[in-house]
Amino acid sequence: MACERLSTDGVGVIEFESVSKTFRDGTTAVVDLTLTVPSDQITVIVGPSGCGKTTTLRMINRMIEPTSGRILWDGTPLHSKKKTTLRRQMGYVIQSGGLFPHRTVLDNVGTVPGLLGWDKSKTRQRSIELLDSVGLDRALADRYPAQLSGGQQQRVGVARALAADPMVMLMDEPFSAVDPVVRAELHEFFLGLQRQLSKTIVLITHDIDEAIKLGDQVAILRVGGTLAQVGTPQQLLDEPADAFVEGFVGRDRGYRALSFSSAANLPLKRVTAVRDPSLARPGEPTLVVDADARPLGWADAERPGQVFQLGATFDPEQDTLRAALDSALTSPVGLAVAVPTATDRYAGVVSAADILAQVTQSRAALAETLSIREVEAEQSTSESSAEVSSSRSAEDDNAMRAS
Amino acid sequence: MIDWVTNRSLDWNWLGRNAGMIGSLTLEHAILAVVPVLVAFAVSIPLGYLVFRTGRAANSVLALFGVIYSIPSLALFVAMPAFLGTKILSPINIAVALAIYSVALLVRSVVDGLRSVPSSVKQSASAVGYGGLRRFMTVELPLAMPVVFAGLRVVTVSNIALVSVGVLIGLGSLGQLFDTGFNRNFYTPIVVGLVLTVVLALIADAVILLIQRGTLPWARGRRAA
Repeated sequence: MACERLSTDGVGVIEFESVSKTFRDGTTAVVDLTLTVPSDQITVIVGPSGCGKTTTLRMINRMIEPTSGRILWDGTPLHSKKKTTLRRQMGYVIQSGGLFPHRTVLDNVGTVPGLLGWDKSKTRQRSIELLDSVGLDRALADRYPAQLSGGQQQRVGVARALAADPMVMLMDEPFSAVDPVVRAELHEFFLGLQRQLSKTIVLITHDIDEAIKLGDQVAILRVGGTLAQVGTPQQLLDEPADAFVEGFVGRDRGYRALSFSSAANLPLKRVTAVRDPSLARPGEPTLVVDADARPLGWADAERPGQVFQLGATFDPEQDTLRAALDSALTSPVGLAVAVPTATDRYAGVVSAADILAQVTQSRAALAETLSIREVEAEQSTSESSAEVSSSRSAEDDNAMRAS
Repeated sequence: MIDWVTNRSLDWNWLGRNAGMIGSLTLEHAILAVVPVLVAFAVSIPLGYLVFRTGRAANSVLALFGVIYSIPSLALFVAMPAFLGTKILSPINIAVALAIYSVALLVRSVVDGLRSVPSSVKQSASAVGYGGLRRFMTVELPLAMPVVFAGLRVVTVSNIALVSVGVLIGLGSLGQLFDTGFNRNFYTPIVVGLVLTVVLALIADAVILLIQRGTLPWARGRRAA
């Protein structure tokens, strides 16, 4: 487990130790927050407005100073570092990128290297590389932010934050100013980038769906600035700590939890497939396909020769149970049609009932792995204490021999 | 008195004979109008920043500057020697008076410009590690410039108009042509003075616009508030 090794090395672990913040006007934003942000992972801080999530984020780069408690970065208290130095070591992304309107895309990206006094050609080269890695055309390099779309601006914002290769990235609602389609696109891009770069990321959002989609760890804050629960997305969905968390993750959390299971193991069944809808036999669902076995729709039993819309299909190799169930629920005959993207051909169908059976099965399996893990954890602690005692006795032996 | 009003044809001979004088008056006029703008620009940036920094008090301070601008120009020109210890005919009187008017207008532009900088941009500048002075010089000030330029254009044109008043305290400028025309009931110098004043204002405005285009390429096609 590479992650575990790195996190013990301590490259970008941020620890909040009983941190509170009360502003001068008497508003309390954060109360007694103790939270560890692990290295190389995405920690999402989520909560309704007024829960102190922005304050929490801004305390990490000392835009806001805590009233009490302290924050450590790899064991070093933040207040022992110079503000500007600290900030240049942390990437920062805000809504719409917070780009400088008077600088070109390339100059925006090269901001932090410029502040750090890098050589101009090195900065330029690094900025161009970054445009590539955030998926922006080099032709955009000399444009101004106002000439870009919202999604492009957001990518420039991410590139700027990455420019000096910081260990820590702070992201303040980075994806909320764009429309849902672009947001979904940016989510994929962001997760892909994180797989390559493995930064310690703290991201704040008010959108629990976004938190669950992006977070390795999710911390839910409640109004008044107290931590309600912290855990993996699955933990929050499976075992909400209290009514607030349960309400916040939403009534359809069971449905959303399906996003964490792959559709790969669903038992696919065959149905009659025809090319000519008029050949459909009445009384059974008949799929109409084209010459390449691509599904076109369902034959209409009432009106021979007519075709119902297909509804959403799913890709058993890539999609989740949630997509499969959605596909079954939107199908006019109650059957989800599996179409692997790789072949683009009809591969089989599965009913909503079969999908739910699969869910029941995987939940049972999950419960089993959890209990196995607990047992293993107990064993490994007893083993390591045994090791310690045995090495002790070896030392004692040596000492005795020396004397 | 009616004579020059009815005689509407220009005396081209007079124009030819006095071309040199008209040229030097135009130059003098331009210098008297523009130098105070440059001085005021240099003064208004730091002054505007300080006013901006006072936050809510800024509006009261700006109102005070507004009052300065409402002082009649002739009164200010005449009062200058008393403050500066200069001779009554010194061009410095006019230059300083115009600089005061220019500062009164430009400080407001600088403050408005700084206020127009989006707080998200200022915050992200701090968040990526800009110190206070650097942030002001390289982020806030450039972003305030479209509004400052709009102020500069108003101030420059207003100065070009005001310089003519200086003739009443005996200073050379295109205003002298009006003086000559009125005294002699002679139509030509008045028209020449008027046309040259307008042309000077148009050229100055165009030059500032070009400088703005050249130095603020990012603001092209945007409205300067």
